[in-house]
Amino acid sequence: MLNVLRSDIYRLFHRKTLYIVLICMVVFAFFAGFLGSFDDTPTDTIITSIGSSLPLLCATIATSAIVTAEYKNGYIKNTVSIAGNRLHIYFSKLIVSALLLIFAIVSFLDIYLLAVIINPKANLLVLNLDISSVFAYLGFQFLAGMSIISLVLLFAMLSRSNVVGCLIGFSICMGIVNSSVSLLTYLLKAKEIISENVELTDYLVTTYATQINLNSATDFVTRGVIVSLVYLVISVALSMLVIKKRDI
Amino acid sequence: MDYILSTNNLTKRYGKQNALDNVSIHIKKGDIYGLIGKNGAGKTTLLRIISGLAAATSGEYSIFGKNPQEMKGLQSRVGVLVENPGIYPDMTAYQNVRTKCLALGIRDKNVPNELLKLVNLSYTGKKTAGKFSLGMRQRLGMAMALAGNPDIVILDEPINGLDPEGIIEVREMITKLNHELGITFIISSHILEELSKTATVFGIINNGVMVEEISSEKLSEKCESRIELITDDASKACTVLEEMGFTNYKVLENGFINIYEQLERTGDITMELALNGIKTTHISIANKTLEEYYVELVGGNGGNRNA
Repeated sequence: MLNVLRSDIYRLFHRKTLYIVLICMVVFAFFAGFLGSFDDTPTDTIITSIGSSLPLLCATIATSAIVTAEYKNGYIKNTVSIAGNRLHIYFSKLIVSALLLIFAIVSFLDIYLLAVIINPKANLLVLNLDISSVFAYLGFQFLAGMSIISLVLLFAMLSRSNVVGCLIGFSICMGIVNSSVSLLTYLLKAKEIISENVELTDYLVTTYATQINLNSATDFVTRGVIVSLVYLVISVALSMLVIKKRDI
Repeated sequence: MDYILSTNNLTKRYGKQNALDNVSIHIKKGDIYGLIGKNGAGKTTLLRIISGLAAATSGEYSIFGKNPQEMKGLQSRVGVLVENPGIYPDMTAYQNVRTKCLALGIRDKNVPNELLKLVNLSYTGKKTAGKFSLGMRQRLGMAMALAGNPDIVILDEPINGLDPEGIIEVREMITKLNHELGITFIISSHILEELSKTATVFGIINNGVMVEEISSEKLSEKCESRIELITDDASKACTVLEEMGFTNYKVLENGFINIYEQLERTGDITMELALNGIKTTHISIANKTLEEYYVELVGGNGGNRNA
């Protein structure tokens, strides 16, 4: 599997897709940081800005583009015929996506922080963050990100279409799925199909990815972790099944 | 006999349609195996199964005497170019080949250059594969298939869409690699005349069924040039022919005589038969092409399972 992973990483850094997505992210991160108003905002805003979904969006689009391009170009045939175990190919993609997400989060934070520092409107005199809570927060964001990416990966593999993969990634990351589920919840409640205290959005990863911050209550974070893990496990299991059973 | 690759009753079913129906092939080391069949005959399906891209509904196959489950570590000994060369258009030829090499565990940075040299693509430099001609892409796909020094190379329609020059290049490359490196090739094509110039063994597949496996020597025998002669008295004609020194001839039904030697003596034959009072109603030189042989074998319309 290490050979396939090495090949995937080599390809990742030699294709335009990664750079296009990263340039877009850097530009957005810079303008979000530079043009934002932070007068009355606590310093943890900088950290929780990661929940703005931008790095996640970039990582999911890049993942989707990379995976579907492999199907579209027929390159996957070269790998499948030599890999022996098809699961190696899937896990290699998942690891590359994880690296991509870490890279996206780190670069987003760097650029955003830099932009905030040079933003004349920002008040950054107090930077008294608890490092362990910052890491816990970033850890959760990574987990939530991976569950979304694995879902996008699954759809990209199923559809073999870059458009579908990117659309799903975009819909999830930009809150379209959340809005749709909110609307569905409202309609179901109106028809009295579900009870008033049920919120379907509680079962969406994006709800937690966007709402959890450094000061969130423990039980809310725990719920977020469980939901993310469930999404991750289900989509990984289904993807493994798809890549193992389906003809390439 | 030991085969480097063989299949045993491979069947692939899509819904109720049999794409492959109990196909068995036998390939020896050093063969150039030409898989012949019209579009949709099942060539690609067969190649996809033995390349590990698709699963057979039933039947089995072995490569190097091992079944696919025992193939761990041997995958690099099989190079594959099925359907289209899987290349990234925004990467250079070197980068495309290097990616494949890395997947095979080859880290030597010179290997991609050597492979590109082998397929005459070493001059492409920083030009991305997206700007390559169809022939260049095909050759790049071959370079990738040759990564890892494979013992078997599976090529699906490698000359499709190539110009005459490209076809010659690919043909010469295959022959060279087969002769110099002893690589066994499995090549599918529906361009039969081209395949007949390269292959040493032919597998003729029609509607998912293997119709015949035949060596090029036997095929040549079956297709060999002959004088087709029709006279009003076949037995007398045979006596005359023997007096003239012909020994390699065959008398068919309805007084047809096929003569397989001294093809330049049609004039002499006619004269001699006339002198002996035998009327020649037809005399011509016939030579079956692979295409004619194929059509004859599978039927004029390429064979129809439902017919």
